[in-house]
Amino acid sequence: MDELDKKILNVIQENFPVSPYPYAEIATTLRISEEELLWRLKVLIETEVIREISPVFFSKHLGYKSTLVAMEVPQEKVLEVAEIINIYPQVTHNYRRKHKYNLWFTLIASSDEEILKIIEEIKFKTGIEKIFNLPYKKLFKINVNFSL
Amino acid sequence: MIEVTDLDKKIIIELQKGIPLESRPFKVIADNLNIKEDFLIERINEFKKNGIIRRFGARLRHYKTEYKENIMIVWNVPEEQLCSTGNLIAKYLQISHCYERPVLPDFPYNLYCMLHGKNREECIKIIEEISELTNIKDYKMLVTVEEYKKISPEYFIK
Repeated sequence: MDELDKKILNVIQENFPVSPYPYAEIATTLRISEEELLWRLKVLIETEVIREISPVFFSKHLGYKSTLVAMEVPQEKVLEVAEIINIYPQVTHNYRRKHKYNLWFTLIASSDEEILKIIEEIKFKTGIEKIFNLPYKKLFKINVNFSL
Repeated sequence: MIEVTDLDKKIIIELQKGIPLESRPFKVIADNLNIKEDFLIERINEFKKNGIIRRFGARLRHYKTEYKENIMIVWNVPEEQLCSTGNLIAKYLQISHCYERPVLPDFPYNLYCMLHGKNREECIKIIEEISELTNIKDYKMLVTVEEYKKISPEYFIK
């Protein structure tokens, strides 16, 4: 990744133009050709630096519910439990963390009932009783942006 | 709640597949949906205005960039100080998420945030600064040991 790649990433993370020729617009801002921009983006996607170029929707406005779930899993069972959790398409993040509560995952589903059902299912399938639903009470910030 | 029509849902399903690397990407998407390019562009811009689209851009894999460290920090914040603390934490560029959440058994932490930094030291510096500014000394850093899953949500797919 060189300096130009970083500039491209900084611009394209923030605001993708919604207009007929978005890549040409970005290229003009960066003073490069549209061809070079498209080629560099292709490489950045192939090398997995860019996960995807697409809008981030506000789940709440689409009628969806989200939550964070914490689990306390015996060390030797963490991987097995993580795999059971990962099967659910409604699970968007799943992380092992250094703490007594060592498995943390996020769920986005079409209703609170669906969220509770999935949590109950996971409890049943894994046999882990220590599973806690932590839906947010107040949102202070959500904006993922890496300044490069 | 904002009304989402059946056509909106079809548009959202197409958009979440990703924007193609083509000179006129919205024309490609509009053709797939059998609608006009200018109608699609107008509708997406409305989604941005009404908040259905929170942000439009590229999503990065942070560990492929300089941002290797990713820590969840939880804070034990007195009720009356929650808003000011949440708002202060939200101002940091390195903080991507900040929420008030319920407390857990033996875990009295009610404010959760995600911090992304280039290394552990940089993250700790920010955490100590926040602790200093807010005078909240009871907090825990839950360092990421392993990422098992990270995907974008998929809406309206049956």
